[in-house]
Amino acid sequence: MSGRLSDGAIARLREAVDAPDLSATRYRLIERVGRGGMGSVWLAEDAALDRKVAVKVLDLDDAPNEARILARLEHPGIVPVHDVGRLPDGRVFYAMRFVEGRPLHHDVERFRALPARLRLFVRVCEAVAFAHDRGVIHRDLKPENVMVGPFGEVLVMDWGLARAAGEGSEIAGTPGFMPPEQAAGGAVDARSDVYALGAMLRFLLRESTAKPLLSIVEKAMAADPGRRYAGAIEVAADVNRYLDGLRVEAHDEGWTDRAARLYARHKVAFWLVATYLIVRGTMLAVLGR
Amino acid sequence: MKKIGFAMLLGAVLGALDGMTAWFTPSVRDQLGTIVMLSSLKSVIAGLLVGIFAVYMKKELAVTLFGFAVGLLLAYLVAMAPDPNTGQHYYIQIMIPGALVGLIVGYATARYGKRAVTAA
Repeated sequence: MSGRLSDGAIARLREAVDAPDLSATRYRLIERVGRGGMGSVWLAEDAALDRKVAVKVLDLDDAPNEARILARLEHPGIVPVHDVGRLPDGRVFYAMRFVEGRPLHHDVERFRALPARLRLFVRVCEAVAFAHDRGVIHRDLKPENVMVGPFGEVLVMDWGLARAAGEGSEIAGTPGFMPPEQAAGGAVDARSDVYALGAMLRFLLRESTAKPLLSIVEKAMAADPGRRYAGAIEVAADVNRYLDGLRVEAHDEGWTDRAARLYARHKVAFWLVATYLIVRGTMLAVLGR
Repeated sequence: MKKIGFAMLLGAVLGALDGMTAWFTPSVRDQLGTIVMLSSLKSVIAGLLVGIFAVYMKKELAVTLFGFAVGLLLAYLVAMAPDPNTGQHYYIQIMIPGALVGLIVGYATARYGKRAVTAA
């Protein structure tokens, strides 16, 4: 008999040690669903309301910034906080809606058509714009932090790095999604999230080389915040313009681009009129009237 | 009501343009004014019927096909009248373009008529 424990056994022991003591609360622990830099997330049952919730337990013992911010952001695209409390060991926890979905970076294949991915992106922009309107900057927008539910509902998650607009802060974020001013520890505002939204749009475009969309990405991800969109709603508006076959503001289109766009938008009407003209012309040529 | 107006206006314009193609036929060029007026009137009536149908029917394809059918029927009624000079009937020459104009009016009303109403 070996005296060594398997990796699985060690993981289970670690989880048991790490498991929060929720016995004094109305929540019953089910299993751990995630682990981040600031704490762990557990699936639990709310015994009072007979529903599943996500309980986030922070490694810190100070008041949770994320919970306070989320409490200000009541929006269908932002996961709501139900409750905040303290464990017997001093750690702070808060209960949130349990989202039965998959992170966007795992679920993007479900949205094969580009318009479906763009509509999903617009909904992310709308949730972020709502937060901006309440003076909150997410600072860590990326596909991993967007949850897509089984019915296509979109929720922006993980507001742990969120700050008030104009506030300087520690350097934190995700390379590739973090704007230069944030990486330098400077003050952030709505345009910092716009940069991350541009990076997220680039991820969602995948193999698409549509020039207007690439122009949106380029404008959103400009190194100089002054050259970016002013906010998330402006990004969404430009993406919606593309979806509606209208001219994208970020894209300086030539006459060939314009003709191609108008043709794509009015393809059926174009072919109906062309058919009429061809038939009329043929009749004049063959039948004489 | 604005959807009906849109369809009638489009019918009037397309009907008039369709009638003007008679200019390319020297034998009927002297009747151009009458042809344009009757063609336009026919398409205005088609537009009226298509517009009323489009108010109740939201499916683009159904409105388009209705426009085609109405255009074809009205063109048939016009084609029943023989040429006063030769006594000939021009069923194909009148019915095919008439049906295509009806098709265009139907599609445009379903696709763009809604936008015209929203914008108003």
